[in-house]
Amino acid sequence: MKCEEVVEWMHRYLDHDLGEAETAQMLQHVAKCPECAENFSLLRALSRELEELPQVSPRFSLVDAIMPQLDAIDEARKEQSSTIQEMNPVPAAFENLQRSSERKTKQKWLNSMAGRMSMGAAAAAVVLGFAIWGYQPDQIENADSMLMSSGTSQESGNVDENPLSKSIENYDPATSSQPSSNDVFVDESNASSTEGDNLGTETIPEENGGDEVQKNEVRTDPTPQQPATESTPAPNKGTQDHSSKTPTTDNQNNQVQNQDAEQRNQEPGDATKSSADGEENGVTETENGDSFTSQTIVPNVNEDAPVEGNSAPDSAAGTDASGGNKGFAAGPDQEMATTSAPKEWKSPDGSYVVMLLGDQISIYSKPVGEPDVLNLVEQRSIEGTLKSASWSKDGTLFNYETDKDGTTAKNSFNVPAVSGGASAK
Amino acid sequence: MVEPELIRAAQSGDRDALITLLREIEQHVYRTAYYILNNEQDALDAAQEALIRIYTKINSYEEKAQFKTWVQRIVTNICIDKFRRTKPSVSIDEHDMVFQDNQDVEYEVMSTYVAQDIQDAINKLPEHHRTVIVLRYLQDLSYNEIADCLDLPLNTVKSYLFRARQQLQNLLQEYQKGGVTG
Repeated sequence: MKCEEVVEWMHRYLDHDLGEAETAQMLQHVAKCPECAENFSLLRALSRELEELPQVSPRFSLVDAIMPQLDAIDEARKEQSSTIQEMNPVPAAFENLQRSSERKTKQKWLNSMAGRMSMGAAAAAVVLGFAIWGYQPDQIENADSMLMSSGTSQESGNVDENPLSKSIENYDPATSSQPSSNDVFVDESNASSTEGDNLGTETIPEENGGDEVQKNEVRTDPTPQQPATESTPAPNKGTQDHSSKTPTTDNQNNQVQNQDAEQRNQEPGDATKSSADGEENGVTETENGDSFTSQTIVPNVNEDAPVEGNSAPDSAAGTDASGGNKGFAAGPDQEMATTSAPKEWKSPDGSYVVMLLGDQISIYSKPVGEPDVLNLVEQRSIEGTLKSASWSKDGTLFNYETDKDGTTAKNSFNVPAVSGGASAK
Repeated sequence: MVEPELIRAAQSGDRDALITLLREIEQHVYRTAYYILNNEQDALDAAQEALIRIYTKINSYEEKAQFKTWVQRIVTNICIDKFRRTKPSVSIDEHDMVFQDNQDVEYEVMSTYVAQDIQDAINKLPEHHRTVIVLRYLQDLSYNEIADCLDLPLNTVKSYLFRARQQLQNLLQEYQKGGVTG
């Protein structure tokens, strides 16, 4: 048996890990090997000394010392469990109470940020509205300064200025309005991405609308796409209303509000141009309304004005949206009628008028002195298409030719000579 | 030896049982901390920290493990963390050299008390060797129990313990020689 192995057995012997047979074998070796014997005696002495190390004790009761901490832990646990009942489960932590209070303050902060951002969005809408509707630059400056004076924070003021300058830069309809909208989006998203989103979607139609409106005035025959783009003026109007309303704290506001009213009166006209996009307009409008609602946070703002501003544009938006749809539906119908033949022939003396509506030809008498009144004298259906029609010079005979399948038929109305009274049939 | 009933009561939410349990293990916890850290104040801090941890984590104890090894695992982890923070670790492979180098300086200040010699020698051991010695001699743990405490393989525990004892023996021999010659 090698000494190295014996040394390991010695250690195991000291640790009570050696069996009886092994112990005997080890002791047998130690008895023969002086080196191992010395080592063994030293190890036994050491082990004995280690076992006799003083059983130190703390100077004071550790449990008593930590009792306040244990009580604090219990309290924290109670609070935690009660908060869990009240609130949503949160990760277990003794600082839970503290965290929840932190969360509250964060929410407040977020709210205020959202408020600020929506103020900024509303203000940006103001500025864009002014820019799009071609207001004079000095008016824009007024708007800006009005905003600043109405207590808008410096931050949102800065946000205001950027879209303002951007929208002016990109005001040329030739340049794509998209980039400037994106710029606005980026500006807004610096502080709040959701608000920025709203604004981004908001501004895109606005700018497009603004550009399109100007173009549309020149165009005479609308393309199929036209209605979609035409619809955007409606939200623009809405925005314009908001924007004019925003600085209601200022004294000029009566004027501004009058302008609002005028603009709102114009809206139905615009709305008839608007299209199936009406729904989308409604959404955009609501967003405007939202951002405006938070505008009421702004100090010094005359309370009546924002309320009015909130309700009026919203309802206007509703009518815009629905009116837009109606307008779109009605528009083509009228147009169809017109193109097919909204034709009328006045008799030379003006006392009769013949109208062709579809395949119905009607002759009306016009009572003297009542230019708006028409009395139906006779109505006929025409077969085929009307080729020509004219009054005789004396105004008593209306001749017209119809063409059906190549055969021409001549017909005529005979009307009694002009009389003062209404011609009863 | 902590009664299993007391542990179960403490785990079921009996605060008095938990406090009683802490009082029973308090000395064991402190002793381990004292011999690993070789400093009363550090030992008090570490022991209190370990007791608080046991108080809060009593429900994480599972009966398949021995309670005393569970407790010692907590206190040794805390002590090893503290030890590493306060003292640069000594490589296990270099320990023989370290003892050789230190002996001339150390023997002159050696106390005549053997216990003090041993404590000083223990203090010179690398952290794992020291911990193994403490668990073996102050807590009377077996190889397996030490392995459970320190998450070490059984053979590693044996190796640490044997080498630690050999180192201590060498150190004490040097002390004795120094004492004789000095």
